[in-house]
Amino acid sequence: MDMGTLARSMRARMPWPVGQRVLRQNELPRGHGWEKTVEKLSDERVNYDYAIEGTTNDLREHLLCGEKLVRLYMVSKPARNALTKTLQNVQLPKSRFREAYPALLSEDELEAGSSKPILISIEDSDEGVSAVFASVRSLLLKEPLTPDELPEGVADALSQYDEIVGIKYVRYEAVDVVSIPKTGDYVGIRVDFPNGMHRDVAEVAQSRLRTELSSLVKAEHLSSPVNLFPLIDAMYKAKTEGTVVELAFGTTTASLKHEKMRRRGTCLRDEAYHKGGKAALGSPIEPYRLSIVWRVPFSEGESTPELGLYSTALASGSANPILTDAVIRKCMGLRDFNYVEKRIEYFLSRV
Amino acid sequence: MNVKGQYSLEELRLLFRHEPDRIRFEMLIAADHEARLRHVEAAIDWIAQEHAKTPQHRHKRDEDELTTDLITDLKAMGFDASHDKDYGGHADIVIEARENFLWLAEAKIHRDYAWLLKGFQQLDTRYSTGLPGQDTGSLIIYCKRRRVDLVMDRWCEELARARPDVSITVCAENPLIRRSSHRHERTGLLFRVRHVPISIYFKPDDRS
Amino acid sequence: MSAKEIKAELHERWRGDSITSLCDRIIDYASSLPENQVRMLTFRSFGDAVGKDGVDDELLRALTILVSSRLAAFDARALLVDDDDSEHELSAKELEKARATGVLIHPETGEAVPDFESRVIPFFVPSARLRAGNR
Repeated sequence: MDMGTLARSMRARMPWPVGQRVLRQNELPRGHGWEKTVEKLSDERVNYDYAIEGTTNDLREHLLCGEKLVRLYMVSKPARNALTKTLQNVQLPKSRFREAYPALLSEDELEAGSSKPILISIEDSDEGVSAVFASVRSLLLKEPLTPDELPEGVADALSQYDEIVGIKYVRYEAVDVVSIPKTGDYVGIRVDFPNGMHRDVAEVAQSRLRTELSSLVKAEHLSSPVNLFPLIDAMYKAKTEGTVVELAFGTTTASLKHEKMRRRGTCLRDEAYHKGGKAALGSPIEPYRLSIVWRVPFSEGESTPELGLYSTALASGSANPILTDAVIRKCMGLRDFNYVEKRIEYFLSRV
Repeated sequence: MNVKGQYSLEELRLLFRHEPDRIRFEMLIAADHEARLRHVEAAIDWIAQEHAKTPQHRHKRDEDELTTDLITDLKAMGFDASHDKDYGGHADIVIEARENFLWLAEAKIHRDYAWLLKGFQQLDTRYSTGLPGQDTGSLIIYCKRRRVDLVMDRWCEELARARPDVSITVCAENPLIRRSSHRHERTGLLFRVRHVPISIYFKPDDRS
Repeated sequence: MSAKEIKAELHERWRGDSITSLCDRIIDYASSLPENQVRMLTFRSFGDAVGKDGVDDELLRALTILVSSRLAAFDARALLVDDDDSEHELSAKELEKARATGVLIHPETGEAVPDFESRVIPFFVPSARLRAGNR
């Protein structure tokens, strides 16, 4: 595998801060943004062999945990063991995805790809087993267009418009994971959920992966996903639990609020306007959407993984609101991803 | 305002498109000493251009008066500019900015080249510190004679003769301006001087 | 250094200049608010605080003095706002690099932001110098 291919795969998936850290760790040069970085790393005159193994491992790790929508299923230990054993012995089908793994196929290479998840790897570690699946998915991209990008007649015809936006669906290789830990009660289904992907697409992906898993192991081990809705209020109220960067809530004054505060180190819980508003109410607020960030120390600094629990005002108004999805983003690797999952499990044990 | 009800950079640039406002705005958001230097130089150039438009009011003024005019205009643009601050002596123009940025200038009427050389030497050996962020300056030359280009050519020849350690180049944006650099005696770091002529030559030939 | 000391230095350096009055009002405005309410002071914030309808060159001159001179009462920052309203703080250096190269790299995606100047809001925060006296 060459460094150019790895760099292009990293660009396709990794947030820039994560990518920069991986490059730094592997003593690779960085350019001004992904485009220049990939250019540098694709230069065949330079020998990057010293970093291939490390970068490949980091990319593989990121595929297991980067930008995922997660559902957790409570599964008994015997069932988890059975699932693990089956997966460890399963035959991996031949596929172009598998040949390239952990590098990703380009859009051109995905032309004839399947939207059905295909098993491409079983990752076995001290912490558990992960079954890695690949499939073709679409991402909606909106790009502003300038008149000089358009053919002459078209530009004139559209000259009355202040802004022209092009919409295209881009095919990309999605990497989804079924994670069976050695300890803990939950099996996790993690589907790729990059920025710009519609929630419905992730919903379908979750369902397809679950079906594929059942078919693969010839058993149904997963019942209903765990309800995460109670965690929204519980995590918000836990004053020392991370930094709240987004909160949507209803009030008994019949108002819906959606607050965001993504400045470094500042928590919505302590923000003056938020506190003042709450203090003016006689009843507690009713959160239904929460984004929370933690600082997880690494050898070279820290990462800031983020958990999103996104319900709706409508759902929260029901007698038993259900939320099954946790969106986990900005993880450097498994270490901070597992940290976030552990926090979820901790709060699940207390609600 | 269109981004969250706030002024975007684009809108502010449109608002401040008049040159002195543009320079002022750029100085406001300058993040490092090289950026600050660029904007100081742009300010000097703009003021020089404006002053060159009214030679009839300036050609009889003495050095101090001409320099006071310059400093007044720099201050009006928001620069922390002063005359006569005591940095190893009293440089003609001192511009200070945050993070210990210091830019000095000697401003001389072109009487003869020895006088200009004195100005350069004062700047280099008396007033400047040569420290990072304080490693640039200017020699401003008020030209009351015709043919500024010849004055600058000759001045650079004299400077090169008197100071063979100084390397001199023509400014790409304005061929009348020269840039020089040399190792500062105090710090050994490169000290850069911009040689800027301001023409206040006035000899109209339209009286019948 | 405190607001009082910064104002004294301002009056010393810009003695006789009427701009000091506007600068004083800006310093007083920022110093009167608790630290958690001065995290994002924009041109609009300052304009509203001193009773101006919009940004004019007097306000620009006052801010240039307060930010870029040795007074350094405020630090300049910038905010990048995405299409979906997500916000990303940029340092003055990141913004400077973007303006010098014509390319702003999105801090999250690592890709060039098209037409970035229309999505970036310059703002200011009280500097350590100004905050020191307010503790």
